[in-house]
Amino acid sequence: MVTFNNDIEVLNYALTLEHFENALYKALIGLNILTGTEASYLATFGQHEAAHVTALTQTIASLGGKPVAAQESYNLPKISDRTTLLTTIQTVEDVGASAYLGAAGFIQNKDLLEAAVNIHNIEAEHAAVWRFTLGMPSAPDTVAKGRTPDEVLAIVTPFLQASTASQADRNSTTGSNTTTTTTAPAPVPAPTVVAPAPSSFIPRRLGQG
Amino acid sequence: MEDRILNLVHTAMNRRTLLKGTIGAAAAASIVGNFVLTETETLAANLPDDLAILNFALTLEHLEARAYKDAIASGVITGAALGPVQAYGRQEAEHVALLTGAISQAGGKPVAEQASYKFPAFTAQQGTLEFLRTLEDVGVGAYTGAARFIQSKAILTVAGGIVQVEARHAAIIRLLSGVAPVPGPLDKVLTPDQTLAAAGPILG
Repeated sequence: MVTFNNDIEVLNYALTLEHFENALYKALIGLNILTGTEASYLATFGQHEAAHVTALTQTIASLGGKPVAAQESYNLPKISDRTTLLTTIQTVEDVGASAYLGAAGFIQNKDLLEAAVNIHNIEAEHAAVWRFTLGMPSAPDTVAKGRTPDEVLAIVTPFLQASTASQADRNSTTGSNTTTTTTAPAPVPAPTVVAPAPSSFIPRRLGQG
Repeated sequence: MEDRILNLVHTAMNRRTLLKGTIGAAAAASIVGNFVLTETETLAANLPDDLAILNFALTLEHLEARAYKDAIASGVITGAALGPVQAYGRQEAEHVALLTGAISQAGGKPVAEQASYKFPAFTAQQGTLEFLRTLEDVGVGAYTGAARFIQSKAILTVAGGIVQVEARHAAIIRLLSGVAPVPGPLDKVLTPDQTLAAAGPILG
């Protein structure tokens, strides 16, 4: 069972997911499938994910931890039509929201907790909009359910698996978030140093992201 | 009304003034069971604080539930907006029932719905959606800002599950009212005092 020993590990877990979301948005934008309002949502929400990556990376570093890096490639699904694209991004955003909710209870620092709840809200808002475009209920549960890290990893691991072509390159890169083809990736490398968060610093940092 | 809310906030936020130990383990187990959670943590010691926060949340949920109910009854919500508004109104009413039941089961006294609220007249769809948008934004900001004060992991998880639903409502109500559904990478967080300042005039 995946668990967290400190706040930096939780933040690196979140950052692992944000890297993936960021890469997915960039790839989907590049497909030029969506048009009009939907295309503008894709661009805007992609910027939000990039901001989350920046904020989490800076915060982890400021706490003395080692921010997990983006993978050089992801095993993204092949998408060639609007409905598949929207369903894919909606699913990923719903999983992202549930991942933050399932991890919130592990966070010790209250400023970090508030920031994580806030990012969680944004993931849910993205998910709601994608659901709306698909004609699905935007808030399917009266009380949203969290997913444990194990449940989240079971869903996202296929996307985080290295493709055969890029595995050799990635293995030769020091410090990259390497995965193997036989086991689930360890999403949270152990931090080198754990420092307490200055109480007023973290929200400001995240707010700048 | 504002005094009552202020008392709730201060009860929740100023732990030194609390009378502790009045709520037993059975009540703690009951609230956990009600939320279908399996936490075995010791809720009892911190329950009075968390009950006050839940009552603070319930106050806002009463307000939202009534606003949706009145908005729907006004008949001005039509077309694509009607389905979401009806669904969200039901969910706010369910939040009221859930929080009321949880507070009661844990030995607390749930705040009641007010007889009336200072809502604007719901005479057109646009203005009504804008008012609902304000309420949802306040709800999201209030829950997010209150999260740091919640002691129990079980209650934090439930509050998180509720704020996620409020955030989903906020996004679509924004969209339906013609503004950006997700205006930035973070939502505006409200401290309890800021929540009071925003909701106080509506509570009357």
